[in-house]
Amino acid sequence: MSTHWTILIAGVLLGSCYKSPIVPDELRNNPFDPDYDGPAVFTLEDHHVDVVINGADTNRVLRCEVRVHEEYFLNPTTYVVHYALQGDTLAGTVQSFAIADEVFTTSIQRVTIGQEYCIDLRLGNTGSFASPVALCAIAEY
Amino acid sequence: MRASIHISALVLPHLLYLSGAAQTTGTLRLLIDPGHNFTFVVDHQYRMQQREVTLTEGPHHFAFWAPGRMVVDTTLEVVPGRTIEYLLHLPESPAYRTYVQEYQAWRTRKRWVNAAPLVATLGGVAWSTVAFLNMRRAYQDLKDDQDHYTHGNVPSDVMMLKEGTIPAHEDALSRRRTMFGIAAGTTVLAAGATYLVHRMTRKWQAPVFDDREKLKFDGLTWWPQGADGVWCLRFTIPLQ
Repeated sequence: MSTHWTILIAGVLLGSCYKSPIVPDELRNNPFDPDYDGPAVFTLEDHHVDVVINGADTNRVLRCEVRVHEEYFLNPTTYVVHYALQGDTLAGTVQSFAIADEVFTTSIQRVTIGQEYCIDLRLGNTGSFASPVALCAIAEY
Repeated sequence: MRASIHISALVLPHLLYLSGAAQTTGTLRLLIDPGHNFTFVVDHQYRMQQREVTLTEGPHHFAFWAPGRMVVDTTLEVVPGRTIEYLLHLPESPAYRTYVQEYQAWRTRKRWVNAAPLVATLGGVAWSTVAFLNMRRAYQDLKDDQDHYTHGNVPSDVMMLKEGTIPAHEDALSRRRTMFGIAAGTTVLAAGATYLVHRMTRKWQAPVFDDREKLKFDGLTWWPQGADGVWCLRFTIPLQ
């Protein structure tokens, strides 16, 4: 009968070996995951205002240098960053191959000095983007 | 089990047994079915197991017998200087036929009783193997999902993976693990039943053949041994 007990125990052990390797609630460490809750993938590296004068027209441009923290990617990959100015129609995308040293610059035209501008940044690929991350900067010289 | 006890008394001179060929003797070649284990008694005295016998001329009484067969009594004529072939089929005794039927029925019943749990065990092993492979496949699917999540770089695909594929694969793994547990448990139960049934049927007594014809055939007979011979008295003590 000990053989049967051995088979039974072996069966139980085999069964317990095959528990799910995934804990769904812990799957939040991929920056491409809309539920991502890891360290910030986008940070504002620097910002400044350039004044562009064209005849009588004076255009103040807020330039924001955004860093994409690729070190938080689980695997090296190409990507697209979608940015959109909150409360405005300004929007665009930046391809990863156009980003040097993980930093790219967005420009907000005709800003008012002293006013805060926020950009929603979203990481994605093939037209699909993760949840937006807002970065804000005050237009100042 | 039966044990046979031979009480032998060396008595008679070998003159009665004529193994040598004289002018007044003839030979009988016995073609008896079954050919391998028949025994005969000549003239109610000489018990022999051979295919040819040389005797003095004239009629001789023969009683033939083989295990499971009926005793056949007959008188054969020995012709001097000639070899005569005698063909005889010993009929099966009704008791032996009954015994064979009972033994076959007993053996068939024992085989079936033993085979049923054994077949269930083998089926259980096959079922457990399939269930185990399915469980392993479901587990591998989840490992692949984990890998896909790690390599996922399209948010909609990642979301679909998390909300559709992974839960489905987890359900499948859970179901298959349960199925494997049931299969393994069934197999163990069937194996236990097989063991118990085998232990039980080992004690079953096989029908015993009580060969009445043998009792009838056995008796005080002369058993030639080379130039001499012995008187044999055989009786059987069942030791069961």
